[in-house]
Amino acid sequence: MIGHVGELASAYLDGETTPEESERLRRHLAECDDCRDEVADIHMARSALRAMPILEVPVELLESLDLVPNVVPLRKRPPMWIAAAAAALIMFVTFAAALTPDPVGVPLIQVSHEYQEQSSLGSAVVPNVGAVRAERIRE
Amino acid sequence: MTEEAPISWEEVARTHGRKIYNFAYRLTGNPDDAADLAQDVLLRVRRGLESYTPGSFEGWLWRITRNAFLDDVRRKKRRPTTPLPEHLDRTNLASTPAPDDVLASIRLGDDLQKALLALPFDFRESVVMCDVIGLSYDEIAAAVSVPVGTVRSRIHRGRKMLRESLS
Repeated sequence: MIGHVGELASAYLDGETTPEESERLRRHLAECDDCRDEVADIHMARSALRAMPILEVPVELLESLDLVPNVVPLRKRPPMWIAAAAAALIMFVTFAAALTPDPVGVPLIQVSHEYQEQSSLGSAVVPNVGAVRAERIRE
Repeated sequence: MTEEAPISWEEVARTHGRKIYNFAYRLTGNPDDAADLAQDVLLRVRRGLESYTPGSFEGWLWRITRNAFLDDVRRKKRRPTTPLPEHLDRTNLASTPAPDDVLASIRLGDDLQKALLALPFDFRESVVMCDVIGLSYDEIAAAVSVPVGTVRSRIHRGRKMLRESLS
């Protein structure tokens, strides 16, 4: 009985038990020290596993698969003139869209607003094209 | 996760490459073997995508991954408990120095990795799929081709053995 209920511990912590099983486990734990200990042990192991560092894919592996040309440029900062031109363009389109409601301008306004929410520098900051693209790739 | 439309290999490599590499690393405990395995998996995915029909993409992907690992073990006749390198943190590819708390977690992870490698393969695989990759029990069952109840049992027994070996 103890082993059976104890075996529910992992599934319970993972949200993989049925409502009936969860209820049965909770009722049992209220009166069983051994099973409470087992749940605590499982919880500790589970937490330790989930805290293991996530390793990055080695560059050599990406190179061997010809993925680097698509990945590396996105990690590099774009040349200053491109960043400046992009910033100017985005500011121009944002202001133009704000003055004349136009569906074409909506995505850029959204990007601009999202960036402002993440930034502590407020509305004076324009999106960094490289940063926005790199964020998407990382995901 | 269910994919509605065919996806490109580059997209799979970018969105799942890190998960595949981490799965491979936690299963082998060795950065070189992990890189070889991840490469093998991604090449198999590239070939397999030509005949892939939309369905449970996660199940399909992880089935390929575990089959690649098992084939690799058979081919090299490697024991599943490959010895660890002396310093795991050299595999951390961060170009900037890691903060102390990150280094501490890596050292703790070293003990845990050794304990993982000591687990029977079936338990290690399910535990890694669940706790490292974040797959649901249904997805693990689909990938491993066993009933969900078996997945549940393997994860529980694996965690229990890990806890005992860490105490």
